[in-house]
Amino acid sequence: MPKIRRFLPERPAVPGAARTIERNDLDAAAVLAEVARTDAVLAKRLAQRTIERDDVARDEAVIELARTDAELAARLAERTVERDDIARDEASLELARTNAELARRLAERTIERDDVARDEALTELARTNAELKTRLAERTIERDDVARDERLTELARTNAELKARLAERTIERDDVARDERLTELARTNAELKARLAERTIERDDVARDEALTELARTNAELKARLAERTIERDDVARDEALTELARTNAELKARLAERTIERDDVARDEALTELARTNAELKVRLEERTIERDDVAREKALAELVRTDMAETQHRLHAAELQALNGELESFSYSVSHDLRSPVRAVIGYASAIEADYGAGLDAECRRLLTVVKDEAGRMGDLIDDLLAFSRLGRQPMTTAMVNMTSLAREVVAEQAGKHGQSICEIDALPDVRGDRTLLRQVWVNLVSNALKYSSKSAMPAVKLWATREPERVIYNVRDNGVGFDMAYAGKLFGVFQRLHRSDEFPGTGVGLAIVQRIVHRHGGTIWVDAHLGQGAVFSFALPNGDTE
Amino acid sequence: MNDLDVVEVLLVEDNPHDAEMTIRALTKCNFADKLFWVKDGVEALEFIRCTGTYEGRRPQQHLKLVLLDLKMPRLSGLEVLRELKSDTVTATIPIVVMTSSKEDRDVMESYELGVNGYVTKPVQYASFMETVERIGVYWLTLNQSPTR
Repeated sequence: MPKIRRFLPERPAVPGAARTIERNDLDAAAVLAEVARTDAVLAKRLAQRTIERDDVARDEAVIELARTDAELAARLAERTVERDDIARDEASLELARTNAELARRLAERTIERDDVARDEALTELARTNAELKTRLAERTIERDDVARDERLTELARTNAELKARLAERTIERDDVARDERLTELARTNAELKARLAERTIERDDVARDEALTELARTNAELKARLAERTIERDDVARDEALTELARTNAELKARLAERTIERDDVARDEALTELARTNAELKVRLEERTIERDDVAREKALAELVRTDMAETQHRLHAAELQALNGELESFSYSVSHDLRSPVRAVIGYASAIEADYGAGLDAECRRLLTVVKDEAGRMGDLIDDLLAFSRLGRQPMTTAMVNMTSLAREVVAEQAGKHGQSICEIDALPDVRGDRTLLRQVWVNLVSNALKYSSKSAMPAVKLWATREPERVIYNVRDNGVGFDMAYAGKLFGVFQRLHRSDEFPGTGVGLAIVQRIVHRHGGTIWVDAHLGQGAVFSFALPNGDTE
Repeated sequence: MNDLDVVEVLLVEDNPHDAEMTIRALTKCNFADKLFWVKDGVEALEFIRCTGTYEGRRPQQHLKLVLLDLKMPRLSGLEVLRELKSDTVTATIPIVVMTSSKEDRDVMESYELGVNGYVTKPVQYASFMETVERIGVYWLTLNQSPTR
């Protein structure tokens, strides 16, 4: 037999809270027990002290009495010597009176002392109570402190977490800034390269221009000197000068060319070296930062993964638990479906076989008894079938679509109308609704057949179906003018196997309305009833408005 | 020729009371002499395959109907169904599941395995008798069985 107990909904586990409440309860109970114990001890001690004090007082009074007696006796004796019988009588009377008075005073004092002792005990008790209360209050405060500390710890943890996340985001932002700077640097580098190239060209140009200017100047000078010398010297000299001039020119040109090349090369080399160095440096820094960023990203991804994993694991555990429960429920009803029916079938079958085979030889009473066996076994079969149908409802998946409720209700009324005698059925136009057609059909079948069944004994059975629209929902109603019922029992009506009529008055197993309620609930709706004894009933169910979806 | 060689209906049923009621119903319409009752899935396979206890059985004709219960000890009805329908020699034997269960999964699985019919045993005696009779009449007289 599967453990049906496990199908009961469990309270969601909030381990910490539950434990705290339990602990508080336990502590409070312990304190109360302590108070009770202290009370008992005090009461016992009070009783003892009262008895002790009474005893002492009584002893003292008795001693006092004895002493007084002795004194009086002495005085009486003295007086007796001095006085006559009358005096003695008087003394006797006085003695008796004094005795009575002493007895009274003794009684009074006993009572007083008892009262005092009791008051003291009560005061003591009150003080102890107050003290316990104070200790209870202190412990409550302590517990509050613990709770506050825990919350502070939690707060601190959250703070730390937030800081960590802030730091991460700062790193991210820094990275972005660094990227921007790298881009800027690269851009500047490119610009510098461009400018360097330009300046190299400029410088070359300037140098060349200067050299040319110098050359031109030298040429002009040489020409002038040649002209002078030409005047002074001979052709040989002139030739030499020209040769010299040509040589100098060539030399200058060569030197100019060399210098241009040299300067360009040096500057370019330097720039290139600098550029390469900067590039290398930037690459290293970029790599470092990439690694850092990857690490951070990796850690974040890991944390996220762990978090997701935990949530998923919990989800999976929960799902697995539910699935296990569902599985158990299913195997339970599966076994019921297979095994519970066959004995019932055998009982009915054999009783019927006796009737069929030996019916002629049986007397009326024997046949009646056999009928009872068959009918009751049949009823058990119906109960099992209905219970299985009810259990299937909860497990069956829903297929929702827009359902034409008017045609569905008409179809059901037409099908059910013949089963419970004649009645007048009126069906208004009913708004469509989103739901599972098969399940909603079952709702109409159960409500309509109930209405027809419970009004079948009325003089003019009448059933009416109508609906009212509200913004968020549609309310469908089924009214009959049948036997109705006392609304005091309305709460029982939707329970499984709950009936308000005996099955010999109206047949049934008491599962129909439970099924209706379950279907309506599965559609996110509600169901209620209004009825009066002898004046019929109105069953209403509200379903979410399909148009709003 | 042996009685077992002319069997047309094989009843596979572990519950003797259900078997008795089924036989009673089939007797009423004179199908009982062609019926043989085996008490679980293993015995059913042995009978059909002429092995084990039924070694030496020489069937004169193909079975016209197997009435198969689902919940049985040893080999369940669904397992018997799977065995018979996956073997080309026995795949054409008409099999009707007759069980207590109305569970959707039993119905679905039976049809997926190739069952030829699925009937829920009625609890009421009269309906039970009528159901068995109608199954018998349909498969043994109306229906054209495969010859091999």
